[in-house]
Amino acid sequence: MENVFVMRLRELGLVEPQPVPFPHIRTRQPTAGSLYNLEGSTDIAMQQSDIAIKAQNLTKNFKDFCAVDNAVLEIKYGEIYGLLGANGAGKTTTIKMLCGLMAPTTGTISLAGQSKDLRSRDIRKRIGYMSQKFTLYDGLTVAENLQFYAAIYEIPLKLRQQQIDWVTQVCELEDILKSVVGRLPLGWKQRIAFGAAVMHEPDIIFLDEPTAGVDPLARRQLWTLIREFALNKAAILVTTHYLDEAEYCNRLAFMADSKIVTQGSPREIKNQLLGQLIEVKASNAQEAYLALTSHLDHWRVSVFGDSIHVLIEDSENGLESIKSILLNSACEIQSIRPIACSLEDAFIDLVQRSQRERS
Amino acid sequence: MNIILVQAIKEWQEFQRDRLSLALAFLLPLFSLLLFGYGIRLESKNIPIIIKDLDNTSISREFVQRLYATNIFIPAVTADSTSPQDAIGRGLAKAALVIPKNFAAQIFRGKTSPVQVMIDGTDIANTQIVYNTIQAANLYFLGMLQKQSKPDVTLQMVVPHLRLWFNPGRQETFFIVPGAFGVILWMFPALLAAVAASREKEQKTIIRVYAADPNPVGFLLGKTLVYFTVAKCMAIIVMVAGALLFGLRLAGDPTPLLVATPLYVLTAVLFGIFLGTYASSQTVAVQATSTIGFFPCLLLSGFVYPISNIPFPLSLFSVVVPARYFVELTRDAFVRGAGWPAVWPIPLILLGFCCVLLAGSWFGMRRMQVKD
Repeated sequence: MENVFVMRLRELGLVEPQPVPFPHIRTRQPTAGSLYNLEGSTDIAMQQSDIAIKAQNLTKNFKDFCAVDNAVLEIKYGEIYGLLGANGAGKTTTIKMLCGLMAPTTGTISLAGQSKDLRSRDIRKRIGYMSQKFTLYDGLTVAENLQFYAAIYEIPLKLRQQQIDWVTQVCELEDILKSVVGRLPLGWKQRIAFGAAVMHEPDIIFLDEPTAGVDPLARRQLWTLIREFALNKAAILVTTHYLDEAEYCNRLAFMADSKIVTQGSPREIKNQLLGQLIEVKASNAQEAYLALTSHLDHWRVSVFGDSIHVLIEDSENGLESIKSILLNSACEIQSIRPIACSLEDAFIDLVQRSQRERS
Repeated sequence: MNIILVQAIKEWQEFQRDRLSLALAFLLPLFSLLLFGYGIRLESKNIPIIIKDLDNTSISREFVQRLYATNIFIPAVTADSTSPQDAIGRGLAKAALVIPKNFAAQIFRGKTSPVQVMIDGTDIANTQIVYNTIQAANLYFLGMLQKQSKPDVTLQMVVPHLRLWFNPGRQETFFIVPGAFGVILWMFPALLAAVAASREKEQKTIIRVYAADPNPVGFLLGKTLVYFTVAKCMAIIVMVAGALLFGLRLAGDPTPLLVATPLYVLTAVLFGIFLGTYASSQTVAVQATSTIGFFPCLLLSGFVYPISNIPFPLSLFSVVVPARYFVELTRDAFVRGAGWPAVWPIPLILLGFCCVLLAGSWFGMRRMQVKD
């Protein structure tokens, strides 16, 4: 659908923005090897030097519930790392802890090779953060907002205008620079917020649902920008709801019930799905779903639009048994075929598996 | 320093686009001054009284005349048939006075002549005034009579007492308006600052500030700087308006006022910032400022009720009401004119309040982190 939408817009003569080159005001400092590497092995020190974000046993307990349970993360420079999960799975809390907005209950974090004094001004300047909710000043114009953030991140006065111009160009804000932010549509606001978060060319970028509520074209545009930053060796941690966006990520983590249930590249995660996925299209999807769930484990069956996905262990026997179940019920099989697993299948499976393990 | 300026510039840009803030800064203080200046009258005038003169002699008419001459009473507008009880019950009159038939005759016989007075007791303040006024008028009247018939007996000593109550003067604005400066210059700077500090939290913009800047000083002082400037303008406007509308003039040395006013509005701004950093939303901040700020300022500052009238445990609380000190200072500057010898500790006390409030705000924000 999205491709159709984008193609149609292209037909209508909409020119997609060309990436604007990075001004490179900052040379990326080679990060010193961890000061806390007690083994002393140069090998490990070398490895650690390209790790931008590292979290160990990160836990956050609020009064009566655990928001993040023992999260372990490692993100390298130049990597886009996606944090996926349902609402309330603990993504935002994780991101807030990692960028120092919230103190973890237990666990250690190291940012850019530093694990002490994470709230120092030096570290702050190397981090870009775009929060889940829109958080620019509604009463200020776009230009005033950008000026403010350029100043608060202490971009040298000489370079400030250059950076603002660059962000304006990249995020296509020329026409709205003088508009008051509060009255702009969400898609625009997200672009401004992104611009404001990366204007100081941070080494580490945290993006908390940057594309929530943004139209497909603007989303593509935003992802082009994000990849641009990754190519320039920034480490990017991004949370999202859209599983199609997860394919842009180099590595992913799935969060469910405050835990990271799996990590790996999109391909690795898909491979974790045990068994074979069968897509069933029946005349009466509702009826077919009920029939299948009454014979198979509930978690093996899920509805995807007008089709049903069934996860089976043995593709030979499984296919036959599904056919027989459906023949016994009142519905007619329109098509039944084995399909490749998508991230969404993997996601649903993993979440359900973690729920099964808990109960 | 740089960060303070950055915050201040941003704050100013936000402020000058926000209609509510602009109104709070310039319109509402003037409105409040008019309200306080013209609205508050501690003295009672024009209390409707119904008088039934059953005697209707020259003596009784003179007695009635004496009552009206106090300028406290006006005749209640009632039909002749209305009984005094009815008139009070229906709220047409606050007091009723019945002069009996043989009022004059009794006086000439040298006997006491009872005059019946009924007072509406629902309004305590008025009751006292009516009671005292009638007593005083009566004494004056008797004094006159005695003077006429027996010149050797005088009751002149009563007269000075009466004058206090009879004072219809304009002096009262001199009491109210300098006090109103204290209330207005407390309330509005505090409200403005509280709204500004909590707005960042409500709109979550504070998160980006947390993420970018580990030090709360820039954030706090940037805002303080803007609202301190705005509040100083407010002070000038309000005081000039006070001088023009109510004829207030500086009495004596103006330097205590010049020193204490900036300190006082700074205290107010910091008070607002302090509450704003602890409040989670603008609504909470406004309510907190009104309850914690406004009521003590109105009731415990000596603006309306003398501090000496506040009962014991509560009177201790008035010590931490900065308005109390400033009201004392403005009254001195505009009315008494005693200058530095009388008011020298006040700027120091205000400075102390500033330090405490600034430290409190800093403490609330020191971690620049989201609260659990």
